[in-house]
Amino acid sequence: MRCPKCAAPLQRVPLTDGVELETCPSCSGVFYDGDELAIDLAFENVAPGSKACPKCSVPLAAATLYGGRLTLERCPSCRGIWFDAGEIQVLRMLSGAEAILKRRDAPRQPSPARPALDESDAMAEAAAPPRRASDDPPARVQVPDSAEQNNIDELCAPVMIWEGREYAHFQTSWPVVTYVLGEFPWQVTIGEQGKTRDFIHPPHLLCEDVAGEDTAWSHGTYVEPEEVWAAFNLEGSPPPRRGVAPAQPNPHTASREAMGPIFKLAAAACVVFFALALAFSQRREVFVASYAYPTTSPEKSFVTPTFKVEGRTSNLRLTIETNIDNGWAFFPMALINEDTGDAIDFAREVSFYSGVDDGEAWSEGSRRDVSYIPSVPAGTYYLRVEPESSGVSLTYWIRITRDVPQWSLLFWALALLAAPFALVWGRWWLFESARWHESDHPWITRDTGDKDDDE
Amino acid sequence: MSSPGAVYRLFAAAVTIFLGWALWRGWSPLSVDEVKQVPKSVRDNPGAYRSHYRSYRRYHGGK
Repeated sequence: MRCPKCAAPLQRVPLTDGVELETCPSCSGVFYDGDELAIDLAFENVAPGSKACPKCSVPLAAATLYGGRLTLERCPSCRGIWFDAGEIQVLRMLSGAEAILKRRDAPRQPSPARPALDESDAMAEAAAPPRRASDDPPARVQVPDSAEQNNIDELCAPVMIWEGREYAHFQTSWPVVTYVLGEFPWQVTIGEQGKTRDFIHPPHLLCEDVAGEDTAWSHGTYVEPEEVWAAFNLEGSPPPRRGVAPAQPNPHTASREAMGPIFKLAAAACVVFFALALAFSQRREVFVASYAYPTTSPEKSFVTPTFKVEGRTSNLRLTIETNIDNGWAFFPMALINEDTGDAIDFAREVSFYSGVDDGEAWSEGSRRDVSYIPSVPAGTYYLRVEPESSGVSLTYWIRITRDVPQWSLLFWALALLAAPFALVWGRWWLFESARWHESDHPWITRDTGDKDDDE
Repeated sequence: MSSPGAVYRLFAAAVTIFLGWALWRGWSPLSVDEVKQVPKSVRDNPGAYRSHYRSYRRYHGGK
């Protein structure tokens, strides 16, 4: 018999319960006799097909099932059905049947040289014979614990270069075949043990599979669930994602990579601006005087001598230093321009407390206060001060310095620049942390309490 | 639709320019009130001036 699709000679493959199927070693198609199927197929829209029955050479009829979601070729004479590669899996999915083949009461013994297959394995048999009995429970195979293997990759984290991309080591494991289901382009044997090493460069995945003397490299690219859903024309939407796949692209990488250089550039510009401001600022003391708090006078307010403020519109740094101890002083002030009569009204407070509690010394506040009066144009000024204090012997010094760059402005600018970048970076980091959690190189080692569970 | 990078570029430019302006003009976040046309008599009678902060509530601290 020849394959109705590619004309390659068909091979007879013994299955469980003595059933034998004809499979194509070239295209992995498989021919079922009509009485071998365990489910009733409700064919729709039967039309003449282009292939000939491999058994009786009658032209196969193409018929649709499940509302056109599957098309099979059926022989009108012998009732045999031809499945192209993958169509058995589609039929299984659409019918919901676990077994497609009928059981036979008196099964024949499978050939010792060709172990039993289930029906879905038949197509893989064309290339190589996987070995498992179809409806029997999976063979019990002692699975070694990967953790007990000597995983040197865990320590050295090797890197692979492929097509100019650098693939980071993700995981090395020692898998054992315990169950076979589906199509495989290589010979699969239950109990077979190998070694796999996965390397990732999202969305790319590079895998090394070592079995005996054979080493096979495979390369894959992560496909979004929506793409898979659309490719198979499936209804509804894919189930929600759980966790992070090794090669799943990090959705925050693009934002992080775009924002990183901008953050660095802007931060550098801010530092340069501040350095220029430091280099070219006046930082010139324009007024300094000391005063004593008038404890006996009912009128506390006074004005200072005038002082000149020169240069472009800039700030004034006002420093108040006191000798206060366990008390407070409050300084409502007005910086008055003698020429225009315009005033900048503000207030500063100084408080300092200290003591010893239970043998431990403590202090709170400061005897010194520094503030910046913003955007003061050049002119002749004086201060009007109206001090208040809790103490009786208060002496204080007022010092005014022209054009002093504020470090806090640089700090707040850098903080503002960093905040959005830190937010994106944090989300990127959480995603990567979840990705690498199951790898040989977790970013965070969590105490899962397994030790206690074991006990 | 603007990408996060483009939005952040604008934001970073705004912050940088604002810092440069703040350093040049001596801007400060200090809370101040501007009073126009203070009478010249304040120099002779400082108590006549009424500060906005005269009755300001303040923390006296300490244990």
